[in-house]
Amino acid sequence: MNEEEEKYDLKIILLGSSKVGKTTLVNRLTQGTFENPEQTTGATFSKKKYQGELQEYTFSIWDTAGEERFDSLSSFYCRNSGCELILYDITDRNSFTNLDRFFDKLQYTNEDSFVILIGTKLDLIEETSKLRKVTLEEGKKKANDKNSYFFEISSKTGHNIQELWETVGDLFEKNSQKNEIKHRQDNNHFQINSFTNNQKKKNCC
Amino acid sequence: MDEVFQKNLEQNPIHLQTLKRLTFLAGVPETEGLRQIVWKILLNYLPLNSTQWEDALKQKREIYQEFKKELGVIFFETFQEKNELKIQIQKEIDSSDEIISKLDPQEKKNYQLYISDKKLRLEIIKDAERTRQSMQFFRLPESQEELKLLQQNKQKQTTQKSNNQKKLQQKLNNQKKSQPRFNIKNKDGSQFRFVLTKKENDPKQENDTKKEIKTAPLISRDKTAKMISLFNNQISTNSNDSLLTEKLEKPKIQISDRMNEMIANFNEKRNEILTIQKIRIEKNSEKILDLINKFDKKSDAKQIPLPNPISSKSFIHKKTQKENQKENQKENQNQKEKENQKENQKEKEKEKEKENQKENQKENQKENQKENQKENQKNIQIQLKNENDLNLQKSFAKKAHPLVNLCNVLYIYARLNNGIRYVQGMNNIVAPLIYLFTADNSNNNNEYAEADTFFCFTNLMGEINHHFCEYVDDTEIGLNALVQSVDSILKKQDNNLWTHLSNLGILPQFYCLSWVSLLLSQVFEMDKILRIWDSLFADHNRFHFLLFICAAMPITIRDELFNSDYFQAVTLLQDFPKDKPLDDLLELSFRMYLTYENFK
Repeated sequence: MNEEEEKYDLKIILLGSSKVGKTTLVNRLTQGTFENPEQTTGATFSKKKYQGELQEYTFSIWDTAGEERFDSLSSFYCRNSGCELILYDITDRNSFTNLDRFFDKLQYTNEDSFVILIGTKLDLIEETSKLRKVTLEEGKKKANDKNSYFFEISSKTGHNIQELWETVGDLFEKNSQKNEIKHRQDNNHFQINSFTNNQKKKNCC
Repeated sequence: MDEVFQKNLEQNPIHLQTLKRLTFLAGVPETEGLRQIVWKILLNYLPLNSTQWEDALKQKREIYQEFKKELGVIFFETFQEKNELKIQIQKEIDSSDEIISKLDPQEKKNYQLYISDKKLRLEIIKDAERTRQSMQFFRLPESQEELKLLQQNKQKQTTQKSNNQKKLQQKLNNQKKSQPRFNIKNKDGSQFRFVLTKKENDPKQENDTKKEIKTAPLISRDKTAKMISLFNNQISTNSNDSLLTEKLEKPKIQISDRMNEMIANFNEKRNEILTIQKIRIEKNSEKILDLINKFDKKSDAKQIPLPNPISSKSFIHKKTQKENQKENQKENQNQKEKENQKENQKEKEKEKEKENQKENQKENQKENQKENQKENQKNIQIQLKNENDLNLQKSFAKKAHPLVNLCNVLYIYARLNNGIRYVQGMNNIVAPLIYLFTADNSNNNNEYAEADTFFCFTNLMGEINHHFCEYVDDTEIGLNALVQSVDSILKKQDNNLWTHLSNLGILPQFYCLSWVSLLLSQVFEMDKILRIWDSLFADHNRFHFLLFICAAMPITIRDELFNSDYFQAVTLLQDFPKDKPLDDLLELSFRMYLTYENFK
């Protein structure tokens, strides 16, 4: 982490197999557009503002390549990230069964980072539910198992996009409040807390 | 410039070193059909002896056809059909788990192969359909109706063309007596047509293509001439007050004393090897040819010297009308024979199709009988075969869309190269090749654009497949090392900018990973890519120059970068400004390449 990067209040990273709609989601979030982009090579960077209760924050968003060939690279981008959006395509079973590959990357992220599991392309099953290959329950269960939050979205129609973004902001604010309290405690009761901190983490995760 | 280029291509065998040197600095002249030939030579697809071209192409194209027959093809004509195909494949993949559980071990293996093939196809189609969709060229027609409309328009155009051709031919026949057959010594320099082989030197074609010559090349010829003179001056003059140092100081790039020393060293070394090249390159082509001639004789004894340009010219002048007529007659005869052959082939194909259909029917009957006993394994194989046959028939009968060509090149490559198979990004590499070879209207070359692309792509991949292979990323030749060397070149060349970027916390991986791995194909528009790839392919130390372009790119936008914060700078680099003139970038890259090349 360097000075410039620190200016961003939160580093968000998008993970998931190729073609699940990572770049499309970023475009929807940052530009409000929907199109079929070329594949991402390496990773691309963008930012978005979030209006919190008391102040405005700026979040940086790193959109990684889903291709397995760039797997080691996305670990590199995970460093210092505070929020991970892990995506799968609800019409593609493989993208769901492959998810563990991305949950394994959480070891590289910040300790207090939060994870949101996202099922994409919800619009496709509105016409014919036959196309759905991963049920809502399966998604929820996976998220539960991995201690993460869960959404099903459509970048095309914009369904649940706003809700997703607000959740990211909320969680960030809660996290930073917690950190502030912890920080104070650290300063006051240095010796005690260094011992109890580990226990606390286990409970909240 | 163009004349020199043409003369170089006219010799037999072609002098590769000279071709590379010309292409590297000036790019291939924007004359129709020329870049295709140069790329094919540089990518080792065409032999240096042009009399062998026809046979070589024929052979390769036949081989490719065999590959397709053996391995199968992907085929669709419209957007609608493509989506249907995707859904159909997806269905098969989805139901595969269920089917596999019911199969015997032996059958399982076959079925798994079948399904992995389907997955490969789907992956390729999905990547292909989002390759360069900003270009009309790669966009599929929506439906059959649109396709028909497009085809009708094309037919109209071609009939108009052929009418024009007839008129032109008549005109030309009248003019023939007074004018020599083709005029190389055109002072304009931009007008000449390259002829594949002398036999096919058809006057009507010649006139037609002359009209279609693009007169606005991407990089101005004057500028490239300047670059070449710069290049030559640099190697012929001694260091200190040379043109090079003057020029180097111009673009706000700080040159340390050490660098001047390096330049001096470099020049001395160059001088040792290239003392012959003391004459400045002027527009006079014969002088250049002479120069190259001398240089090549001395530097490389094995290579055959260039023919005297005057003699080759007089050779053409000497061709009398009678000879021309004879040639024409021969050509006509040849054409007739070829047509007959084609017809025969077509008939044979039809017969084969009928036979196939009959066989299929028989097989189907047999299948029905045996269905209850042993179904799965054979069924799968037959299904695959039938599907392939059907697709093959379609794809041979109709001219496929460039997007389909793209799919098939990737698919055949993946099937033949099981180790690397298909990796995302290969589609970006194939796209410019398909685009270029489809635009080749001479000798029906565009009909074989797919086959030509396939072999050029395969040869190209032989040199850059480590860009697509994770295992070697951390090795000396791996992608990480390449990115690091871009960074170190940038650091040497423009330390201030490098420091600025690293203070911002921008790592080279953030931007030049895709630049290097995809040969810049994701960064620029198509016309710029073609020019850049000229130099990349003609690089005598192939793909070393790529690193210098990548390092030069941030420097061309250094003012913007200095005025940027972290976000703006990363965005600028990742979404490289499209309005920057390519000339400047290449000029800077050449200069950097010449200075650092020997000091790595």
